Amino acid sequence: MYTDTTTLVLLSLITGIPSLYFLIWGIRNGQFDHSDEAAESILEDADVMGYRPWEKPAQQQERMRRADTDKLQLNQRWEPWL
Amino acid sequence: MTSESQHAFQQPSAQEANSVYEDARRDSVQDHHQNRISLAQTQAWDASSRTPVLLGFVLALLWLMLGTWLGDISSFKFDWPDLWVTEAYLTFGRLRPAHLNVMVYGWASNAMFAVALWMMPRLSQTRLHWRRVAIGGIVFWNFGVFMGLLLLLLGTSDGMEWLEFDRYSADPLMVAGAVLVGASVWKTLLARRVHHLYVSVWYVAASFPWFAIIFTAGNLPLYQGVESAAVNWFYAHNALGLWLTTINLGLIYYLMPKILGRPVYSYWLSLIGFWGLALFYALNGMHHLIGGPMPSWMIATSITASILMVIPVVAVGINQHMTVVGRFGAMRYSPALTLLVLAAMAYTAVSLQGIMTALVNINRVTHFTHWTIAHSHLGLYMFVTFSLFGGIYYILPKVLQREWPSARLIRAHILLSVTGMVIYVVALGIGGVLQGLSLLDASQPFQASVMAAKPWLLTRSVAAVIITLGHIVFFTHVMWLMLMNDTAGKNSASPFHAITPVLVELRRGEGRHQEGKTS
Repeated sequence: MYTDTTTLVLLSLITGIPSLYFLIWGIRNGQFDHSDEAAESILEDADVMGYRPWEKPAQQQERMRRADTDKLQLNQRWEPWL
Repeated sequence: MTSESQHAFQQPSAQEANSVYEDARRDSVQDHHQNRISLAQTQAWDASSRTPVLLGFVLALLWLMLGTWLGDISSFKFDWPDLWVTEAYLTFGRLRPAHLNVMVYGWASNAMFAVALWMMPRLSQTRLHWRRVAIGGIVFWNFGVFMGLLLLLLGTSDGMEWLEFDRYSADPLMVAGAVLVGASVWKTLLARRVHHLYVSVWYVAASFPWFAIIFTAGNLPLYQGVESAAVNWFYAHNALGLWLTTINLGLIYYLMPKILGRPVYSYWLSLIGFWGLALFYALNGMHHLIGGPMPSWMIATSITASILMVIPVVAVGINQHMTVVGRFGAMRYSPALTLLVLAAMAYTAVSLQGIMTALVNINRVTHFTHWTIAHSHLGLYMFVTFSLFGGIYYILPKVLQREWPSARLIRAHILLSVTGMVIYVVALGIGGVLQGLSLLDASQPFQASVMAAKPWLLTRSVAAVIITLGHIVFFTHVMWLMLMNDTAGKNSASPFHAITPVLVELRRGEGRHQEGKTS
């Protein structure tokens, strides 16, 4: 029983403590600041400015506002696969 | 010093504050409006990871086909117990663990290597570093999987679920492989050109050290008896949560916003999802041993940790749902998004199912039944495999710079896979519960539990055949895409834009234009 306990506690600590270290590092390093900008940081020009046929006008407007543009790239063709 | 001057000393002027804020923001993130990612950049990053990504995907698909066949035969043996029993390597006791290990380590892990190696340069905004190390890692890994499978079919097994591969020959090669691929991922991360780590980076980067730790710990030849069972489930549950789950959630968090053209609903919720998983998941595995001869505190802790997982699971579920809500029509246009949305839904479903299973009253019915197999396929197939299929549909056209040749094959693949897996999970789930209830009824003989599950097992086999057809279609399509030459892809009239949200051909033209302007 003693061996069971020690092994599992040790393994859980080995797995969990680095997570705690990186959490503290992330907080001190500003990794959790400016979440809005962070969320947009992966988007390419074509991601935000391309035409999306499924969007409603209001959704298009919202995306154009985010993209800081007054027009979308309309030269892309779409066809449903299903 | 007057209060006014003190105030002036402590509070910077609005101009200074703005300047400090702007500096901090530039340092903290690449502001999207100021520094958008261009097509030429993503093409360069994709080119740097092309070889290991293609290698990983090709090997993954070969293992997928083999693993599918092993799974089918294992399933058929429930319906026809005398099928292929003359040779030891074709018996259920060897084929079933072979199926599991090939699917987890051959298919899913290879595809996840490719996904991680493709995503990390894009997320770090730099080329893939230590590419040859990554390629070497994938080769080592696959030698390990091949050796493990061969020895397993020949009768050498470590005898622990998810850890059957030989610990002295196969497993060291696999650890070396994962460490080498992880080294390339981490080297790329350390050489990043952005300060901020997007949530997918956390998921992907953490997966490699976690896997190395849990896989090594699980395979150490030190444990005996009950301790061995405890370590077995410490590994097996964490392999799902800290390896298979993490890279796929990272993939979903990366691709879903890109396809929809809008950021994730709440970046904070995405971080809560990751850190909840990172801090609480490791304790969950012992709920597989409820009712076993384990210390009671260990089971109680595991049940508590499992219930705590509601927080990150619901956070991820709400976040991914709210990102897509109002835009479900996009699934008709993007098969990648369709699969990623289904995978995200399956993640929420399987996690909540797992939490419920950790409760003693439910566990009493479902434990030791086919329900567990339905549950594991909801996780490993509907979540992990659908996510990887979605990733492949998105990534391969980018890496190969040409589109999928046939929308019909995509339709066939997805419809077959989804239909087959829905039948599979529903049938085996019902069959498992009926089997469990029968087992709990002391007035019924054991044979009654077998008969209760029998029709559902046959339905599972039918579902397995449907899924296999889907895999054959997918494999054929991927090979077609890879082997066709550029001219064929360029001139084909197939509706490529139906498959990825951005026209590759259009973007290639733009890329040349941009490069031309740069030069």
